[in-house]
Amino acid sequence: MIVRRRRGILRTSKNVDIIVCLKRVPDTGARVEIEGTGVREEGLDWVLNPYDEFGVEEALKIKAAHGGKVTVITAGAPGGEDVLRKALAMGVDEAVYIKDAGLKGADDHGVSRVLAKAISRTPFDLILCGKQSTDAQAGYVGGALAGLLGIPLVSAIRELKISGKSFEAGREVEGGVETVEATLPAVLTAEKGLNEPRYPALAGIMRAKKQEIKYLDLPSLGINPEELENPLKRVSLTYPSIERKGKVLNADSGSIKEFAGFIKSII
Amino acid sequence: MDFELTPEQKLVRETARKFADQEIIPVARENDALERFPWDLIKKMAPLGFLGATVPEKYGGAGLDYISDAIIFEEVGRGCSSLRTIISVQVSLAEHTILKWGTEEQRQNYLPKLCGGEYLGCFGLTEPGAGSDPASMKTAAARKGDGWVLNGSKTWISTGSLANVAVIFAQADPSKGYKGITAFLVEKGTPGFSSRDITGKMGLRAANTAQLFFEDCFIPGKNLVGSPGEGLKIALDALDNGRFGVAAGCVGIMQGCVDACVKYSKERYQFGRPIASFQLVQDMIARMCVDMDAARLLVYRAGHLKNRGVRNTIETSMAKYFASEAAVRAATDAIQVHGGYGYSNEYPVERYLRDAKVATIYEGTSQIQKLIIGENILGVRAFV
Repeated sequence: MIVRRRRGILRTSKNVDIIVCLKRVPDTGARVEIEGTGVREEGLDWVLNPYDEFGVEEALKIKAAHGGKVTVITAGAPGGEDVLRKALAMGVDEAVYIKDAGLKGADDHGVSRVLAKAISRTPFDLILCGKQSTDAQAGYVGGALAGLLGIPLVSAIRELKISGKSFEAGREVEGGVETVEATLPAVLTAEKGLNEPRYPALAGIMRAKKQEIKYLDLPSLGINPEELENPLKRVSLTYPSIERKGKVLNADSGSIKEFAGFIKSII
Repeated sequence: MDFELTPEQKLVRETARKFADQEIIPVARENDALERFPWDLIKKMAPLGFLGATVPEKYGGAGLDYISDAIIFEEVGRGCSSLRTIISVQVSLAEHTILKWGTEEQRQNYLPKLCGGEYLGCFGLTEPGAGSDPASMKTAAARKGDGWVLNGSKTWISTGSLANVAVIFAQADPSKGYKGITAFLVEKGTPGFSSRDITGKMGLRAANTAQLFFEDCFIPGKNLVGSPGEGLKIALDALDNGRFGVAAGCVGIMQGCVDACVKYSKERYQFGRPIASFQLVQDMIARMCVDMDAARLLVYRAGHLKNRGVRNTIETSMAKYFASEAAVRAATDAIQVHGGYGYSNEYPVERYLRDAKVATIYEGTSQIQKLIIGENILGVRAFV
């Protein structure tokens, strides 16, 4: 099978080369403290975004079935090595870190542009992202990458079958499953339930320690940090209000029927 | 000095924690109640490398450091002390004895099988009449041809009935006293070697504990570990590893106690308020948190010394003594926080107490640990 690739690269391989985009997020069990319009990052435990982990697992499964190379990529200020190492420990082949202080203020679109620029330099068949991050929950990057790279997007997939250069993806929609067919290259975003991510084996963790991470920065991608200035300003960030309304049931007031009716209404 | 875990250690913690939460904790209560050996979990742990974390990669291990080792023992111990005991014996006692004192042939023959979960190992030191005083052991090893013949028995041997290979200590020359004790590898199925399960234990109910019997049991010369007469040295050195795992496992029990108490005390209402708001409840939880942190730091210090290859008998004894006693205190208080519910196996805290108690007894009682520490401070040996 011959597939015409973006940027005119012709490939004849049956392998599926995959890029998985990763984000570092605070552990969902962490106690988050608001500081100004952001979150206090000091003392937080950081983990790989769980939805991205589904992406890594799916990529590894595809590699096992079809062959190919799995590359993970992240972009941001310091700290990204940890999530890349985790993916390496799980078994991915290569890790790329776009590490640049200029990314600190970048919004989702800026990050997507930077990722798209780096990704467009590498031949690939498939891009996998989490459907969203568990911190900001914008769900932006996957869609933006598809737009910027001019390839199809199937979001929030729970099933995936690849055959040759075409694929079938199942998406959970209200009341059912929507099945979509398309050809690679494409961007797919992973929903919970797509798979059960493997535990990184201890030998994998030790191997990952020795594996090289490829570093890129904004100048090497030809991007001026000023271009990434965020057009959106976060005005405020507040804790969700917790309002607990209790209802006191008094056996003396009202009939048993009313009492039972109320209990029925809440269970 | 740096109190931060390395990125690799954090990843090890993440893997071990997730495994404990998803695989161990859901079955721990039932395995305890049914006295069921956790074969399934051992099969799942082997490919992850938990059965040979600190053994070098060339022998099938993961080649991790001792802080990572402690993290694994802590997380597994948080889930189930029976399972933690099984891997303590497998890794710290059986594998490390073979790694450090075994011949290259023994290493290549046994370590990949033990690390890969194909083999289970055990460590036979204690006898019916020789517990805290192992030098008084009666199991005898007599030379015969190019090998040895063992006669005698061992007791309280974890994994004893199931182990494919046992590290066995026997007296080869009574005239030399403790300098006659010699170590051997005995394979399951060797004629004259048999076992009997010990049941009805207070804790560690999912772990196998057994008596071992040797009746004219011939051991080929190639199964000698170290040199004749080196046995007690080998045993005590192995216990420096074993106690480290026990201490780390006790930190896990304490973490389990803290987690259970925090959750329960916020959910349980009395006098119209969550019991977490009562000072006497906070007192118990605060004490168990301080004990847990202190124990964890003692474990990490011992692990740090092990990583540097420095002798750590005293520091490991301190960690084992403190962590095991603190785990008993924490589990006792955890039951108290849970009130009547804590007394039933609906909650894990009563299991934590039953499992913590043995940690003050096996691999050197708390009293023996204190005498080791005391001798170091005073320069006077309290026992011969």
